[in-house]
Amino acid sequence: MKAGKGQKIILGLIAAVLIMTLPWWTPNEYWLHVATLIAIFWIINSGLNLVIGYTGVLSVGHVGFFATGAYASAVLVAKAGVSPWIALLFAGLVAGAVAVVISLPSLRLQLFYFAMCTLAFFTVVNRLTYGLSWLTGGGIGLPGPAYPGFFGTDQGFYLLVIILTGFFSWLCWNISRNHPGRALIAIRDSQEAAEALGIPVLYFKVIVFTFSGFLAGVAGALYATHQSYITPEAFTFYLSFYFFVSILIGGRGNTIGPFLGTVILGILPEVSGPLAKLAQFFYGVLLLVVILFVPRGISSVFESWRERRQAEIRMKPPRSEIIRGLVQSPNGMNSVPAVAGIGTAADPTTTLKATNLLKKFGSLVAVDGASLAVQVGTIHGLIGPNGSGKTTILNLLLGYYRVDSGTIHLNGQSMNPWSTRERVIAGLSRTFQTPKVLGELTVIENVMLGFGRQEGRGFFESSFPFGSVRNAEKKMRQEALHLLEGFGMEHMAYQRADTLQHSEERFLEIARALAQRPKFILMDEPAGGLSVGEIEILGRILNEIRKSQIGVLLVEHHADFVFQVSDVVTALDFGKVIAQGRPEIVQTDENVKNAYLGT
Amino acid sequence: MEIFWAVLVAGIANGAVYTMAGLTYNIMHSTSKVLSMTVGQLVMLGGVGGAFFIGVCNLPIWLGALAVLVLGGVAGFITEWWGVRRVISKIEQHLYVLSTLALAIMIQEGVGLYWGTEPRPFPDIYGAGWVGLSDPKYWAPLILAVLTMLAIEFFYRRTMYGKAFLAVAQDHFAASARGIPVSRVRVLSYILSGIIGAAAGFGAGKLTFAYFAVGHNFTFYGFIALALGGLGSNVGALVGGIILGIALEAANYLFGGIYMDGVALAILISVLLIVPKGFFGVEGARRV
Repeated sequence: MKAGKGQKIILGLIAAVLIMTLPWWTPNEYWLHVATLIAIFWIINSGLNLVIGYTGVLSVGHVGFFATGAYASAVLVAKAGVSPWIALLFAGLVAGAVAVVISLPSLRLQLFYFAMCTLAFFTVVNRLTYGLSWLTGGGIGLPGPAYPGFFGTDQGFYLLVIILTGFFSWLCWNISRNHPGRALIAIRDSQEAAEALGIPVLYFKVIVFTFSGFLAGVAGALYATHQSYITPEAFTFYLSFYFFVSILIGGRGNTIGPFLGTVILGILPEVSGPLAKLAQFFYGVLLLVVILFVPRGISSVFESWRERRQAEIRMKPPRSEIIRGLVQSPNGMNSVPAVAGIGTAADPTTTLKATNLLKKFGSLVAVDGASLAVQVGTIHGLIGPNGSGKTTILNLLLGYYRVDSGTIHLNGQSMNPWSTRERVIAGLSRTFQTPKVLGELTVIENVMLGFGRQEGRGFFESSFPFGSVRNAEKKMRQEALHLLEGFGMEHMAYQRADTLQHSEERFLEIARALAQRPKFILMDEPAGGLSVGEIEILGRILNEIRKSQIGVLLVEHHADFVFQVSDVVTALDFGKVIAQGRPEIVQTDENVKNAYLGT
Repeated sequence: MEIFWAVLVAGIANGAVYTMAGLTYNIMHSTSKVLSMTVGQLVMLGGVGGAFFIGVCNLPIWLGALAVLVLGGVAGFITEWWGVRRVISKIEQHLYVLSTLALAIMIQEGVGLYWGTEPRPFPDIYGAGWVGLSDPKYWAPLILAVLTMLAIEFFYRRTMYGKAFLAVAQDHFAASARGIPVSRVRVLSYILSGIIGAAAGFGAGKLTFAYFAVGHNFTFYGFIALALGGLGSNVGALVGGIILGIALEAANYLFGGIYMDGVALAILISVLLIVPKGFFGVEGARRV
């Protein structure tokens, strides 16, 4: 293992030396020119990859930011006499600022709206570069900034570009492999899950888009120097097309694929000269073929092969694993969550209280004046026939829906105006009726996302993985592994979560919710689809959670199970509470019997 | 004052074309929940097709118009077949943005390779000798847009097939459970929208000329018309299109053509911020 790592480092060093010395061994200037160009394109694509490949936001007009950066630097140098170094920085800042303005309103909405806004933005930039000829030189163009001294030579400029490319792609890589990268994937694959995990969805989207705008601006400034003269024609929509097609072909959620895509598609036009006329038509065909036949990119082909192998490894029955994990965890039966430091020192008087909740969907009254209170350290069962409003109450408590009237209090404080994220921060967490585990992340990464809200480091901090970031990641990994041990799932920690069985997904989701160190967990039909034996395991886990001074709201269909594990049961019918109290009392209530048996 | 009328008339004429593009979006979206990037290219095909069939092939005007509508229908069919059908059956449904964009590029560049990249004149389908603002080239798009809108409303309310369209638009699972052939309805809606798009391009040919790169504008402006009026509302498309057309023509006159797209983008962003559902929106901007 150690030797393998050493070999990797040596190989990496050799590659780095070869790349850095390229100007002195390349056979001709032309290839040096191409290599510089592709390195510049990789600066923009390493940022765009975070936007498209990780966050799943389709920016189709990124060349607009590229052009903004190029013109900003060229204008500053040519018209204002600013040093090209300062102009380089400014190019990035201007493009980043524009990215904020574009993305803040449009990122809230559907993908198409955003794609359209970025496309429109490109058109605006294109028109302005033609039209504002007093500034941009119009169709005639502007000279690109030239760097003084060594960096003004072809070799020196190449070195400058390579160093910047290396630095920026290192930043992007760090972001992608630490907490922000996992959070971005959560946003991409399940916005509901991301909200339940307390991830600030809009903030992350805007910040990642702004960062990519900055990188596009810097790349544009370097491009202006590289071309030595820029005209609006240099920034066609097809350049944008090249950017995002190379990322899509490379595949989402990784760096190598998009990098190879950028290099290969970047070299292609250089070697296919006579076909250049067809190039734009060809880009369209290429994009369509990728979308229709390999929508997750080339790298997904290798992944699916690996997935199959992993799925075979996991053939052990998981049930006994979980029981063993519970029994054998260091501090005995009641320590599953506590070992990971969950729920300790919780205030036993804490209450989640809902009063007279009312929620209508059109003319349908889904919840009609229901009240209930959940204490920490207890399990509160919420039962009722289909359509009686159970899940709606859960969604109201977490802020996925807004109440029409009624109040929701946490420990005496009204949560009504709070967003889902604020409620999560205050100590609520949830599981979903259909488990929303993030399939393209590994099992342990899913749990680390749970820890991430409290322990994960921010977007920019994570780009420099020294000291606190590295420690935080290490700590989260250890804690996650420990928690998985409790669930008997530690041997599956490094397999992709979409290779799990349904029951394993359920338990993983509970583990992830526990990792948030909540005061309350709201579970939406956790026993759904579980076998009898698995339900028993679930009961034990619930018991451990209760002992850890966490409150559980158990929305469940399985009445027997609810009566068996709950301290308090609320029965709903047509959005109204028909019985509430100790399970044995509710169980024998006439109204409950009627609602269930229809007599 | 003359300038005022000129701006107003040109704005209404252009706005009517944006309305038609908006209707094209609406019909596609109703049955598939897809907003297609090919909308503007369908309009472009109407203009280039008209110039080709009437100007180059020398077909009589009525036959040329018919050929244009067939061309639009075929393009709509291809949009559904290649750009939509396979994508919306997959998990990554949102990729329709890219598949339809790819098709739009292919249509645009294909036409560019064959037809050339310079604008060419559109034949005088309204006869020669018109002067000033009475020229039917300004009024035909509006008449066309209103007629189309009324026809669509009639189709939805009074015909069995139209009701099937509405059923699919509301809930395609429920519709298919009632025995409505959902896929066929979707294919037909795309053919219909292709015909409407091409008709718009044909009617506006004298304004746009037969130019391969004009489609992108209509994709963009048609969408803003819809965002203004409200996605799913045909009346909204009409009102939004006309407002947008006048606003852009005024911007063109006041600030110059280079700022038109900037103004359009500003309108779009303000609408998204202030009235995300649009003025007549039946369907809100969906969360997630």
